[in-house]
Amino acid sequence: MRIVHFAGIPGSGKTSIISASGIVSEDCAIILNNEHSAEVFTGITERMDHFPFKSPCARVRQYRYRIELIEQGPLPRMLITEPPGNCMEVSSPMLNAIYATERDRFDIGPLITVIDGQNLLSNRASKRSTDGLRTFNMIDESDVVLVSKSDLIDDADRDVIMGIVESINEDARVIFTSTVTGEGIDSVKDIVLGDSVYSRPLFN
Amino acid sequence: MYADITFRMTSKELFVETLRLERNDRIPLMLRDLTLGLDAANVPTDAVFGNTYDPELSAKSVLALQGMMGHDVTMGCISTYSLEAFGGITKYPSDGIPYVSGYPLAELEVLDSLVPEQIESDLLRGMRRSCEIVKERRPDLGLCVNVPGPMTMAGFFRGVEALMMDTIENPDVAKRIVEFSVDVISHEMRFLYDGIAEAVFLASATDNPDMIGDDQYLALSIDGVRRLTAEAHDDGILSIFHPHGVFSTDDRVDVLRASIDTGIDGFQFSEGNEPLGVLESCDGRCAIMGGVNAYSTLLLGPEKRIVRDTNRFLDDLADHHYIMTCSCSVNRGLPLENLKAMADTLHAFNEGRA
Repeated sequence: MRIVHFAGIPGSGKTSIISASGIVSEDCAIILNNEHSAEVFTGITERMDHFPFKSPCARVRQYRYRIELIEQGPLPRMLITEPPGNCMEVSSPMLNAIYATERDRFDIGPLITVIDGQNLLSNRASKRSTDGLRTFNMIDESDVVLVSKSDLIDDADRDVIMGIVESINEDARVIFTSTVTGEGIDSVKDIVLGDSVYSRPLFN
Repeated sequence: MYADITFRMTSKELFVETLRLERNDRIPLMLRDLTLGLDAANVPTDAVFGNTYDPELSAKSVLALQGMMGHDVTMGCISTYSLEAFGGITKYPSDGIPYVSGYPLAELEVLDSLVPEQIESDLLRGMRRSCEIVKERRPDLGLCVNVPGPMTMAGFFRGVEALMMDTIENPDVAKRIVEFSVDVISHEMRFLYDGIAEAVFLASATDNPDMIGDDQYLALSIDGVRRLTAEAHDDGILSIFHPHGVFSTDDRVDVLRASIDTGIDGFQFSEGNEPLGVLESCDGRCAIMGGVNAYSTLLLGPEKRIVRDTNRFLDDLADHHYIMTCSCSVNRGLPLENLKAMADTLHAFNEGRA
């Protein structure tokens, strides 16, 4: 089973991008952060779950446990996960725990982080602000950074955003995405369904 | 052990003097060794937490890990929550970490029937006895007992999600649960440290402004920490506070300073903080504690990365009143060789300074 994880703070656009890319199918399970997002995928897959607990210290254990529940049914080809907890923390601890103990059993795809472009322009991933430090840490651990709501970002600001991301994580692949114009959505699908792997938090 | 070699002072003295801001020429290593000692001694978790708590096996495990890592400060026992005393349920997987699976205050009306003294149960007596054995065998080591912080204990009692809802829908109830929790912590810490420990560690994952918001943190966590710290000081015990969440940023300076103003002697930051941002508020007011990420770097290595990250913390903090820890507690499943790479890097640094 291939596991691909989408990180990003609440409202960044994770669920919308996952939905728009069409990667969720009958043969794909999904574990959502928010149970109310389930309606988006109703009729597409019956293999849905969500992370009920918001406590940060339970995230690693909860992540593994919810995957175990998915495994109790027919094994899907693909599992898409959103973060457990409140989506404000980095995601590598959960994926690292799986990598450390079960990498022979799972194909762990890239860690994809969705960043709202307008938010990034506002906080500049500055370590001096709480929002900025969160953004910095999330970009730093990512294999792929999806800059969402790109229809609202002009060319000059795109250059600024690229500069910020590259200054933090020059290894990240950066894709501008919009569920309004469809920009970047095919690329997201290619990455999720392709064979790229989780790597950045293991070596940075 | 390491402190003896060059300075003719014990690890315990080094720990206490650093927390009191009396010296910073050598960096003590403190590990929150809650369950990793079980791996060091090759002991199943449920062998310690059997029908009765086995203090001898617990102490043996703690000292086995200390023998490998050479840390200056230990927590003295293989830890659990003692919630059974209040009707809670804790599970003890044989090769895993104890976890709470049934909350004593899942039904609120139970609160009226509970008294804080119930915490002094057989489990807690067993943990206390383990600390005594460690102290008898290694009086040169620092001993710091581990208890939860106010919101964290309240979360263990009520369940974190239910407690979060209480803070929104029924704040008086939430306040009452937290106050009861602080009463319990007070009994627990005094029972554990009486006559044997130098410090108490308030482990506070849910005392987390990222999670409960700055206002709730200031209203519910800070008062409890202030009270517990004052009580510890009255007993001649130093206090260390380890809240989770971001504290190193400009918009959290007031929250960090309010935390330090409780009178704590040490502040340990968690993952996701910038050490220098925390240092700006701590410096000269309390010892700063923290270190390598336990969930990524220490879990996965490689050694080169562990050494690099350890040295980064030393570069930033070694000239201040710094006690090296890793970012959180160390529990079974963490590769011992990775933790040893971190410990050896610090020991080499200290020997180089000497």
